[in-house]
Amino acid sequence: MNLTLHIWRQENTTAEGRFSTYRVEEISPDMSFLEMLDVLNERLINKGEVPVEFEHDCREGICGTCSLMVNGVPHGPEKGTTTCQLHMRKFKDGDEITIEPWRAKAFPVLKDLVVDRSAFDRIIQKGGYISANTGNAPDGNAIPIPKPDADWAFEAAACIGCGACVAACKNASASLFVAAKVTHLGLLPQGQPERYLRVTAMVEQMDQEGFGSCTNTYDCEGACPKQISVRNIARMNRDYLKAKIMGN
Amino acid sequence: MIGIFRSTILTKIAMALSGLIWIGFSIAHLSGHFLLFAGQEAYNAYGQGLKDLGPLLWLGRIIFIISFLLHSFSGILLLSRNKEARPVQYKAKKPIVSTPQSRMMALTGILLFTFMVYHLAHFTWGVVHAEYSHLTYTLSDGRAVHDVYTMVVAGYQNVFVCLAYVLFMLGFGMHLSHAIASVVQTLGFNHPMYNSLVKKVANGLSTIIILGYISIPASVMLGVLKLTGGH
Amino acid sequence: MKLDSKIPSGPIESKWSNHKFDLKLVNPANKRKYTVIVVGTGLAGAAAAASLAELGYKVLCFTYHDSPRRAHSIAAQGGINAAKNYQNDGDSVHRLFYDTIKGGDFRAREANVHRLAEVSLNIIDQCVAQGVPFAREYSGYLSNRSFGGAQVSRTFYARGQTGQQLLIGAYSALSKMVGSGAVKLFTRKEMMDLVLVNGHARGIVTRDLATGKIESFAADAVCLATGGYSNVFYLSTNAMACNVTAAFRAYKKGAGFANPCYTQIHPTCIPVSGDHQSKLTLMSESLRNDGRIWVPKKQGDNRPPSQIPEDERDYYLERKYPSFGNLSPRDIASRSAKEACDDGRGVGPGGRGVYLDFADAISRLGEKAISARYGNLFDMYQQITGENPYKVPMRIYPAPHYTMGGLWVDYNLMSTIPGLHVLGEANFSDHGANRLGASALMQGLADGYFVIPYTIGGYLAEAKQSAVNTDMTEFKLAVKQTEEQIAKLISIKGKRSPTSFHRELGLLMWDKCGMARNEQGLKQAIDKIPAIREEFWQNVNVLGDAANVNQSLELAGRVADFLEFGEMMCHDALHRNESCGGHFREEYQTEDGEAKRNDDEFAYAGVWEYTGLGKKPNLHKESLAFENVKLATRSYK
Repeated sequence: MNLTLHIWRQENTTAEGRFSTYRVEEISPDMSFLEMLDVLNERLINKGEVPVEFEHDCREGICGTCSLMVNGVPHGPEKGTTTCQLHMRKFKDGDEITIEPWRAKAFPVLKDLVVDRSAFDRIIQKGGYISANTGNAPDGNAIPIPKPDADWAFEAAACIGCGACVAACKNASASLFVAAKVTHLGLLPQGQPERYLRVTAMVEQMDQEGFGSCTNTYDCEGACPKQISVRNIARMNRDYLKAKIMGN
Repeated sequence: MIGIFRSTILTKIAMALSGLIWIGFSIAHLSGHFLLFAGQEAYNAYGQGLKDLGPLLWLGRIIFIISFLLHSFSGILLLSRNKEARPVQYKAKKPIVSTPQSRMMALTGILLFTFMVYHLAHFTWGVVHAEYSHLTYTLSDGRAVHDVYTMVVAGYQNVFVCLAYVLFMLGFGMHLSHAIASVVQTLGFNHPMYNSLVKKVANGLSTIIILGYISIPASVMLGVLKLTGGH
Repeated sequence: MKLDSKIPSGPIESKWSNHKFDLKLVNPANKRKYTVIVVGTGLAGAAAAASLAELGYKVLCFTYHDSPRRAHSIAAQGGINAAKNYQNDGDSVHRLFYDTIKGGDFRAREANVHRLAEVSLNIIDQCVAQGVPFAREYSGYLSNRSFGGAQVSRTFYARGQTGQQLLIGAYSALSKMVGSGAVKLFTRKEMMDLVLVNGHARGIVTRDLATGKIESFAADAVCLATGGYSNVFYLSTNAMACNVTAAFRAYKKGAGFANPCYTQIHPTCIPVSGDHQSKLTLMSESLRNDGRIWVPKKQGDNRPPSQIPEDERDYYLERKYPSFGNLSPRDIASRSAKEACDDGRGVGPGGRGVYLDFADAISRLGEKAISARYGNLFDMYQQITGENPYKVPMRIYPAPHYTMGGLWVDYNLMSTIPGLHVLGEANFSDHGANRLGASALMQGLADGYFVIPYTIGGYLAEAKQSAVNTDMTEFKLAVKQTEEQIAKLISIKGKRSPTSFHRELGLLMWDKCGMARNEQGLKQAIDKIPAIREEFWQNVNVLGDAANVNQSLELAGRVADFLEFGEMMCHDALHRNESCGGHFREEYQTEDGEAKRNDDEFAYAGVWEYTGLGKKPNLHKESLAFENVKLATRSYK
């Protein structure tokens, strides 16, 4: 199939960006979206043009490195799927595809479609952990954990930190990302001692990074490749309020 | 207190709580005005009854004013923060699961504010359509009171006023339907067991409230409520 | 090059505890005077950086990703082994030790493997304490499943995302120490070289992948946890950025590289769909529990699978290995698929695939039961191939997956360069010639949490090296060399993309040094690689500039190292005149096609020493003594 791509090109963080239009031909429907971009880049290199920078790594939907706003939807039109697992058979011959980077003040563009998501790391560094120094652990079965809690914790922990929630949110809010971690650790007995300190520290860092606020539109859940529920955000709000009332 | 507005979550909670007070107000306000259907006497007596509350009325007004200020201040604060959070817009951006009303809260909020100013100017301050705002009515117990019945009914005999009212109310409905469900989420309640119920209540309640409000000018238009010529 | 494995004396059960006692300690007040560099933030790297910082060392931690959480440990699906014996099915440290030695085809060092089995117990405890959401029973206790190569149920898992959950555990421990200031984290910084001062590893040179800046960092010891080299084959299940550069640069600076020919080929991956293929996706091995593997009996039979009658199908694993059938070990299943395809009976595009058919299982158990077991895998398969595996058989083919070889380390995880420690998949130590499923995660975390925190103290307490800084000639020279290489790559402006060279090398390696190898093919590869390398340095085209994000430049640097590394790998495969584990030499097989080990001549780790570009490296041998496990032939008939 033949496609027309409108791709955001930007030299570096401070440079002005613009859209460039490219034609790609003879794209196989079996290709992944990123392989289609590989083909474009090979052709660009062979023509002596600077290839398009986009981030990717595991290409099996788990590392969270790939991003891309594909026709206005993070990770493209396929529900619960990262861009690397999106395949070209979801598109039609002759389609026009607009490809943009994640857009948020907290995610500055480094080049083309590559953005800096280190704000997420800084939020985790403030409290997205259980303090258990190596060597302190009791036996793994010392504290049984009810299966529903363990399952919910797992579902929240499935977050891959890709930033699609921020990209999808009309306010560029990181609430789903933060809430997923707050819930994951806050549900487990091991996470109780730091539960309220954690939520306070993480939410405050989230605010400091310049993310927007949650206005409950839930596009984050719709865009999340791991389909993490906004239920976690309610839980974070509750924990945060409790923490504030208790003076944490 | 100021610290609350440094946190997006607390600001949201302030917004939710103040909004909740206004949801209560809109229900109470509607129930009061339903007395229009009970006739001029009852309605005017209700109007006078409110006035007779004296300091209590002012207490209520102060609560509503504070909630209003809190609600709009939080809203403006979050809005400006949210605009700042995405300095460069997308060229193509599609909603995924979000509803139009959830995305248009600021717009419907501003619409609502405009409506309130007009509504107060019309019925409370008597600045617009002033010709009906100083009539008196004598209750059966002989007291001469403000004839609010005539003021309201006469006000809605203007087609344009009615049309504007209905449009404003549709905007209010949009605001309300997202608001009711949103309050529940913001205050930390979300469970698969009752989520669909919350959604139904939010939509049902906002529909009832809006239909209730629209029923007043509609009744005037249809001649169900009419001027009586007064006393 | 001297290979002193420093295996502690005494009975195997007490070697590690005795050794921990014998190791010299650094007193708590002095620890903060030592700086340790950790390169890589996968399971081994993140665990090491966090644990060392907790002890009080100053840690500088580097990753080329935008975040430590992206490391490829994240992609491991199946689980992590530990000899907890929670199932009361007779598991023990000794049994895990035995299974690992045997699974590794008797080419691993006993003492290391025993230690691994011992600390496996602590790993689970540690991860649970960190909040890793392992699967649990309704009782609230941890759940286990069984895995290949073991007769007990000892694998802990978190659905199909165990690697992700363990990595996030290690990442959160690391993040905590970054937050407290004990670890200085450097993201988007790729290690380009190792700096030696007075023969000791004292620092590294990095390139910032966002700004292009070349910098150097000084420390008292360096830990490499930089993963494996499966991407030498171009197509593998590894992530796109996985590379051998850090380990290879250390090798060029004098670290011995052990057993590079031990590579693991995973039997159940989704086959290549065309020339555009950029990587291969693994489908969990568990599928072989219910799927039957077959190819048409006739060569070139391209009828759709549903039209091939039962008696014209060859269920070759069931035919050749009646007792293990479709569940025969990874290396055997992989090789048999290759044989069938080489015979012209492969299916799908290019004829490189075999069917994994669930029709029987579906008619026996119903589609619902199969969906409950493998639903997510079936969905993933359908997403990638566009075919519905409930209706048509899956197509699978083996793919490079893990590399058992790596930098040689002694019992303390120190390489032949003093101060250079190597952890996780980057070292060679624990899996011998073949790794068992669910053991990679175990080894990474064992090295990071429970081995290096003890052994590095022993080194630091004894090394007594003087202070260094990045203004020293050694550092400046290394920075200069790196800058020159980058400038060279940018200036060639030839006609071919870095990817095209990678693909060419990968195809050659896969063909000659892949699932099955022979003398002639390996010699051809050794002849051909230098020619590709030469063309690379004359004809590669790296566009864009070096002072910005430039993935072509990153790739070019990595491919340049693969082009040298591949040659060493072939030398290793050529010299090892036997078949063992992941190394199958066609000349050395039994009459019915099974691997033929040669314990008399090859019961050693082959360690290669760099002698210069294009020159054959020198071989050194660490002989392996098997005192606790009897050497035996593996049989799965």
